Amino acid sequence: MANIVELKNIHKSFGENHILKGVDMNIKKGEVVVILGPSGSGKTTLLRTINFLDSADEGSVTIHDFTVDCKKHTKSQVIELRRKTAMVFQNYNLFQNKTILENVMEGLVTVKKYKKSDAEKVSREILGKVGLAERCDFYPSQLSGGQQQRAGIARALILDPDVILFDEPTSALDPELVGEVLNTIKAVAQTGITMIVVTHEIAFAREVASRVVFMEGGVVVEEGIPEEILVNPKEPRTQQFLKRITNPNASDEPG
Amino acid sequence: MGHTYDFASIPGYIPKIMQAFPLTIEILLLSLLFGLALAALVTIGSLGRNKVLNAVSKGYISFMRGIPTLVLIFLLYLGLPQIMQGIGVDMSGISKTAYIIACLSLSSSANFAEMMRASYLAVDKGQREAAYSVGMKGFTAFRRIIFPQAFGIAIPALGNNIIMLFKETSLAFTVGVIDILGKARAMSAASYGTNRLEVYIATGLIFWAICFILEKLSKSFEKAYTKGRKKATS
Repeated sequence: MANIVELKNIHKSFGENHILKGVDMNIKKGEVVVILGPSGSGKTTLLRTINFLDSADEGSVTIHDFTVDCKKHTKSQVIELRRKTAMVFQNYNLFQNKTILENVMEGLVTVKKYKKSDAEKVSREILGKVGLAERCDFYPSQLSGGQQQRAGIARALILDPDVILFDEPTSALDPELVGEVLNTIKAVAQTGITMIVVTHEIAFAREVASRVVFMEGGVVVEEGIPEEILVNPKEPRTQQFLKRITNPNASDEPG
Repeated sequence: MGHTYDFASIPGYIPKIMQAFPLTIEILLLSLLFGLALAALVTIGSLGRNKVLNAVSKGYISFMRGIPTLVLIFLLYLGLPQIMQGIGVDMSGISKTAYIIACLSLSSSANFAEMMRASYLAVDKGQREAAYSVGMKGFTAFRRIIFPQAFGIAIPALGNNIIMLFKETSLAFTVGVIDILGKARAMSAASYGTNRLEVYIATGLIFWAICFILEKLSKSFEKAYTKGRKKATS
């Protein structure tokens, strides 16, 4: 099967800081790719270069046969590329001036030119699926973090994108709310939509990922099926990272 | 000073002074309209990527905030016609009220521009990113997401600026416009200053009452506009 997402030789610097040092990635339709790595490894930046929230300095991004050159691109190319993607943000970023229902409808009405009544109908359906049927008319500030993030997922899903990008979707949540959001993401994964998830939730990666990518220092260190990467990693850097994250109390010193 | 004051006469002056209220409101509303329009242009200039426009906008704001409105009025009303006459343009056909509206528009536009810039920058950048992530174009994101939020943030400052502008309309009397203060001065002069204190107390009360109403309006408008949208402290 053809690749739905192709990243070629992605480089990105912020000033002197060389964050991404040539990342290649090919993702097939329906794959759930989980990107792991220590903070500062460039995983969030990589995700943001896919939909050009951060424009990479070099390389190219291809989604569903539409290629944009990172060095040379037009505004309309970027918009067309973005319309093939959707994103779920760490801080939810729901539109504060709109209700939950309006948040989900917004893309359908302004971008996909749905009639308002049609947009409302499908939006209510999808909000029901993420368990927010009763919260449609609330503003984001009136909801818990978990509810806001589930609304964020609904807002991304409704656009029927070729790929959904999840940027640490549970990192800003209170611990007791992480479960509900992970369950929602799992349910989304089972629908067969292509997903790229940046996360620190190892257990979630093991359960949901069709492939785990370990990044460090702006490059992909190792990738493979979760059983390989999470249980028997070959690279010492991956082993160290997993040791640190699964057992935070263990010291790095031998002993 | 031999005469006694007659405070009981104060309420009687209020309706007479209020005859000038429509003109004061006309000056206020037109200055507000032009001031906001100018400010929008200046804000676009100061926030855009063009370095020349940035510098021009910042210079304009700095100048207009630094110069007293009264000085601006004298410059424009007395100085400008002189310069224009030198190059053969006759400005005597322009009404005094028009000069005042021009001056108040210019001076208030700097404050409005600062208010707009601050409110725009106060909207979380994640809001724009989210708008882009669902595929919106820049202008759509501004119109549907950024502007409505910046506007909500700006309401208190907007209310303050309108109150300040309203008080500055009283400078119109300096060039002979019969606004509220101009009317009061005329009434005082007509009685050779014998009722001066009472007339000016009445004038002060009128300004205070209108400012009070404007402040209340601003508060309730803010409350109605941002209803339910305020970030909860979780």
